Amino acid sequence: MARINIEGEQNVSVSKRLPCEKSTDEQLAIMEAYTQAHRESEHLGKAQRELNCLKVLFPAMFRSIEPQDLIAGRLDFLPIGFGSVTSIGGVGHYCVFHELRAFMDRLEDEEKKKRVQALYDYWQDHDVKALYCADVLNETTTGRFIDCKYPFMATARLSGMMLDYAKLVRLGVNGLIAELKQAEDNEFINASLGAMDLFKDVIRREIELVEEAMAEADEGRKKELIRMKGDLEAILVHKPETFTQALQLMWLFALCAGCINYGRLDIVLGPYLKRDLDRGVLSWEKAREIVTSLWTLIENRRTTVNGRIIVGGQGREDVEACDLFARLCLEVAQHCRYVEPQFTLRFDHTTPKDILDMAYHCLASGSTYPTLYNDDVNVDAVAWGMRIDRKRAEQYVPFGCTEFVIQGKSVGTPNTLLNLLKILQLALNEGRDPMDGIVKSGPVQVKPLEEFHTFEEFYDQYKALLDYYFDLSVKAQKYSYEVMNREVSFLFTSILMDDCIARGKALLDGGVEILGGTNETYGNINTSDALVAIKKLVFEEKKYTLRELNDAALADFEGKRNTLIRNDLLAAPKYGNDLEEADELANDLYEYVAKGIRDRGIREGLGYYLIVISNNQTNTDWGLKTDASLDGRKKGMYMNPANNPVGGAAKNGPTACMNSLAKFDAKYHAGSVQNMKFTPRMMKEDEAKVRAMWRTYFKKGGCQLMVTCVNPGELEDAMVHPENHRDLIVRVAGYSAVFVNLDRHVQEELLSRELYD
Amino acid sequence: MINVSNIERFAIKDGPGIRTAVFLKGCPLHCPWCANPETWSTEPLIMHKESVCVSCRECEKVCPVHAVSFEQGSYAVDRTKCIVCGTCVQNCPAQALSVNGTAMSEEEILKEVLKDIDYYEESGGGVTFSGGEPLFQKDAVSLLKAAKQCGLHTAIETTGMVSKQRFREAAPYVDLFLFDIKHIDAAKLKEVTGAGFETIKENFELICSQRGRDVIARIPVIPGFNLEDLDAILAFVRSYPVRGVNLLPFHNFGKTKWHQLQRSYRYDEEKSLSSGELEKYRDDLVSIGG
Repeated sequence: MARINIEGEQNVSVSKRLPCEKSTDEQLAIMEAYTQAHRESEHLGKAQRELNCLKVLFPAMFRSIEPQDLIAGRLDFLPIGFGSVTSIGGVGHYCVFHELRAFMDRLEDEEKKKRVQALYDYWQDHDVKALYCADVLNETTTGRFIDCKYPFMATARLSGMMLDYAKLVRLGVNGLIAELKQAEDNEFINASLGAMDLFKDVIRREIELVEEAMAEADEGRKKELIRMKGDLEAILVHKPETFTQALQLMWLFALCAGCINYGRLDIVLGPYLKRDLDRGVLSWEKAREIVTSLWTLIENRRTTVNGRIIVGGQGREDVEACDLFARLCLEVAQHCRYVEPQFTLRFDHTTPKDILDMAYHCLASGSTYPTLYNDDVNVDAVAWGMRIDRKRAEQYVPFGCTEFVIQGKSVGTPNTLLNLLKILQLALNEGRDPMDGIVKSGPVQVKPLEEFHTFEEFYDQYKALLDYYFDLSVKAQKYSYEVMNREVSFLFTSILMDDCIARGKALLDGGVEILGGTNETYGNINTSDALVAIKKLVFEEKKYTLRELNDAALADFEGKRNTLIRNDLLAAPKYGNDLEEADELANDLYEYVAKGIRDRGIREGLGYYLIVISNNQTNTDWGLKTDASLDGRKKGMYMNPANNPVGGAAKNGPTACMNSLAKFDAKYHAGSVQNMKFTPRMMKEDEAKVRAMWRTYFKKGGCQLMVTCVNPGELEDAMVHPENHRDLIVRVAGYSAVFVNLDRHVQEELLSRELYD
Repeated sequence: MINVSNIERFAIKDGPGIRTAVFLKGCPLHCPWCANPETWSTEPLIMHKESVCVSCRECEKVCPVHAVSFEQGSYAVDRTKCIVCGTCVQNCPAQALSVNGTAMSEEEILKEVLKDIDYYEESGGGVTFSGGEPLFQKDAVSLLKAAKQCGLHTAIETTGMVSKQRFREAAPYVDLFLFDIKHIDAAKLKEVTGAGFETIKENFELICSQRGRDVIARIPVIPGFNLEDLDAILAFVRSYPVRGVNLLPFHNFGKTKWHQLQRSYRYDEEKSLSSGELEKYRDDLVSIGG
């Protein structure tokens, strides 16, 4: 097998994690036991093998109840184990090699080091992601996520699974077991039954952990723990009857499935909340404490770009009960200033005014939540984009940084990522990436610049390169499912995803109703701005030749003449200013990319394969490895965030920016994020005008909005005096972070964005 | 054609709702605290940002009429020679130079203004013509008329220092008058701003007598000029049936623009007036800020 680089960061990770509760020896023993189970189960089916491995982890890896917990369930993970996503451990049977190496480096005993080395060696040939990478990565076009030298990155992961928790609480554990027992017997169904038994063991273990916590509890706390124990005992045998039981069941299942996005909890929990409040068995204050505890548990998982809880919007049966839960969450979000959960409000023209008021005031007070998703646009857009009926589309949920999936029905993991700007540079340099001189154009013939006589000829050349990369993308996306499916069943996830049980098939084995996928595109606006500048300066005004412009970029615009060229590039029309020439080309490129990806997905038999313009901090990381560009961007500078203007380019105020943003038709993407910064002064003093502006933007087709509310100079000061700004939370893109914890380059990118006052 | 200094979208201090403010060039006054001194002249002007200039003297080299010099190391332009050809702007590597002032047609201006019409409709906003004195250029009346024909709510921020005839011609196309009353002491007003109080008063009286509900009197409160006389000025405007009175506390945001025109600013050291200092004047009619 080809040896590829298997170490290095595998996802964006800003928040520091809580250290594992187990001793080093215990951790090593568990990793060895896991490895042994994996090795010994080789001859078994993948589902049974997965179950045997899970039995090593569960319930062993569950950790003690913290004094403030009102719901039971905290889970540690190790450098070796089983998972779905890279934010907590890895994918399928995983080994996070750089973390295992760090673990080894912390050991002093040489014998133990050798034992770890043996694990390392074994997993090089068995880690699911490494298996995938060995087949897909190469030296020119395709890099691992995150290795920013390449125009294209590919990975294997199962991000953003949002399970059908409504079904879970409706049926309860035994109801699910009964459903499995009714299904036609096969290896997957049998292993799923084993997984449900294991889930019961987890509940039993949690009962023990609650009992342990009682030993040191005072009277008040003991009462709480008794309630928690009662809830656990109840869900072990019955369907949940109360709000806390339903939440407890949902929480433990999400932990076992390795899910870090939770979805429409108002649908799951709203009816229980309402019933308990009506019956008088739960007070509003108590409910708020419990949801606060959920917030804390999610925060403590430290998954950086995930933790989605979504309330509001279309497609909810008991709207009144759901809205009750939404209000409760809004109250919690107002006072819990955490980076996660990513609390999300879906709304439309029917959303009650008090909920919109609460959301606005939450944002105006400096919380970065809720993020706002406009159902009047998104539901129809999703229906068209994913080719599903409206009723299904109503259950869309954004996960991670924004990628849409259908809760309980679709896979939409973003396993492929494209840097559109780097690909443009291949078009300008006969296929060569000026950063390292390597030809990355595959079989595409790239002409010398002198041979382009019209803008269209050049644009077509670029599109030919894009096409090639789209082909690579769809193949890599599909192949990630093949590899994952060959190795694992994702049992817990499959159990709560339509239609795995009925079909008797694991998630990626034909089980999931909609096997979709997403492609993260980066540098979109730098690219379209560069194209606008080329069109204007080379082909319309004929002020420069394309060669002259490109030479200036290759020199990173250093020198007198190149500086003037750069000034002209910067002065060319820029997206984000409501200028026709810039916005039209941005939209043309957007549609070309979006349709190119979508059409290939359809052709390849995926349920959907859509672009997302989300960006975490990859716009900054990838920018570091991308040469100077013809929008005037210097070498190594961050690229534009999502489909937002390049920092500093939007000079016509917020309405102009919003008009540009609203021009992209939402039906071609599966999520696109718009970040705007406003001052607290403006949010408070000009509330009516700001809200009218947002309403207009949403009426004009704006699909989404995320707000950071900061004072002028605050970010600058936090860069100089981080010690004074430990609590300053900002929206980076599809996620929030403590500003002072961010990489300096990311901080600079955030600073470059327009602050409206 | 109309000479425009700047078009500012999402202007939220220039009348009700979300508005676009169109700053027209040309002003009969020359108030020493002015926040937009580049609008005094109807002609385009070269502006120079000292803070980003790297003193490479490229502008001096390329100027075809030798209007630029660097005496004692700092930029100077002889505006009697400068023909505003833009050569220096093109050749400035630091982007320290710019031209203020563009001649635009009515259609071009309105096209820009109409881009935000949805926001005006949602918020009860519209377009505000400011300046300079928005009625200074003779084509302003026609511009206002065209804006009204587009269905826009129109406001003007006027000094009132306009001929009676032009004021009367413009009035039917103006929905809201943001009318500056800087002082009521004719001699002081003349001395400091160059304005003639009689003309202003006449226009103010005229519009208040016909449409007081469409008039908001605005008093820029300037220390050393009218802060001491504020009670008298307020008494004057209160004697008319205006919709409201805005006290606009002095701010020194205009300072950099004065420097960009190489003019010295009398209020360099003067701190902005806090709105708190004017709180005592606030009542049903009088508010602080625009």
